[in-house]
Amino acid sequence: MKIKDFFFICLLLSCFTWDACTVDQTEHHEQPLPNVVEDSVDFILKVRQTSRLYTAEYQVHKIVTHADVKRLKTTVLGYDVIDTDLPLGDRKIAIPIDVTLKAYIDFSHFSEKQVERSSDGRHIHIVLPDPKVVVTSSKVDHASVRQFSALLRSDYSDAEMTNFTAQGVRAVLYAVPQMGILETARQSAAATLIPLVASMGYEPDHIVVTFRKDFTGKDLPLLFDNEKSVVRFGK
Amino acid sequence: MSVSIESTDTIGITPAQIRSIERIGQWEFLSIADEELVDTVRARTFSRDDRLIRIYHGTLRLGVDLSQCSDSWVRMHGDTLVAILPPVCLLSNQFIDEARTRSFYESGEWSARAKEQMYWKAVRRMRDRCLTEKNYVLAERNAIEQFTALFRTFGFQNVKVDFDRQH
Repeated sequence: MKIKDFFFICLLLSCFTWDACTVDQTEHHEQPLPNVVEDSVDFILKVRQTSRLYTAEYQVHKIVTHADVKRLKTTVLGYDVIDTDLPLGDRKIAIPIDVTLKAYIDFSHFSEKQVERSSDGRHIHIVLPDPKVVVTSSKVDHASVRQFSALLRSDYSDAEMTNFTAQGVRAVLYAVPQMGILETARQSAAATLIPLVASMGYEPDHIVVTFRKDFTGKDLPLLFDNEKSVVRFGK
Repeated sequence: MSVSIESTDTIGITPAQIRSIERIGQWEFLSIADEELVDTVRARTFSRDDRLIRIYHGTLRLGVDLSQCSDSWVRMHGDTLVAILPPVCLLSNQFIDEARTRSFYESGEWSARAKEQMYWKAVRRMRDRCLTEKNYVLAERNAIEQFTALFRTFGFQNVKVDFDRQH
């Protein structure tokens, strides 16, 4: 009976060891994933008719970092008595991300009110809507993600990493006013529209394209529309 | 007296580096927002399977690239303005916003390669689901409608908008 138990325990242990080895192979040797089943289901599909002229595209790279240091805090009568880092409790991660930003002019509400022609019909003045900026794509460079965890800490979870990535893209969006993308968008819009209007019979020198207003740092704070990733400057 | 262990959830401050700036002329007429749930399972023999479920968000944009227009794509034909547009296409192959990805469930450890495979799986699924004949037709119809309205705002009452089918 004892010999039987011994063999059973040995068999059980060898099974667990083999099982753990399977994980190591996947993680370190980068072989095609064994026994992987992938599936995808229909989730949400929203189709929208638009009229947007994209005039500028920026490729932005950012390394999102996070340092997670556990701190022990002891408070007595509202005063911090102890405030110290816990040993063997820190972990760090660096996530490289690539973000594509595009600036566009929304023509869906463009009307005759924004087009002014001289009485002789030779001059034309077009007032364009405010340019907007949207994140059209973002991509994590998964192979270049680096993380370090102390002995007593677990690795970063997928949920934590996606949260940091989202924060990183938000930080890129808040840097948009310093990038000059709106100025590029305006110049590019004029460069696209002037030849178009000229082909309708107007002399290029007689075409004036302006925007509703000039944007300065005073136009902050940024406003986000329903798409969340769209930045618009306040009036 | 209170004792607590605190940690931070916010990311560090790092610069955003502009890799490229490009002037473009892409007119979007249809945007399709899609979400795909991608599920990856690694079967284990003597313990519970490892599983990673992520929800990807992407927006596919259909429209015309004005850089593909011929020099005389807008011309007058009698009293009618005629505009010949290049074919409607997917304006960018990069349409997934991975920052909006939601990690729905995770058990076990997953390599960068596994996540990369899931990303491309989501790309393929979105393309299959969204780039349909029906959506291309919808985008073309809207392009004709929008360009006709635009030219009318410039004072042209007779407008004909069509696509270059031989492109």
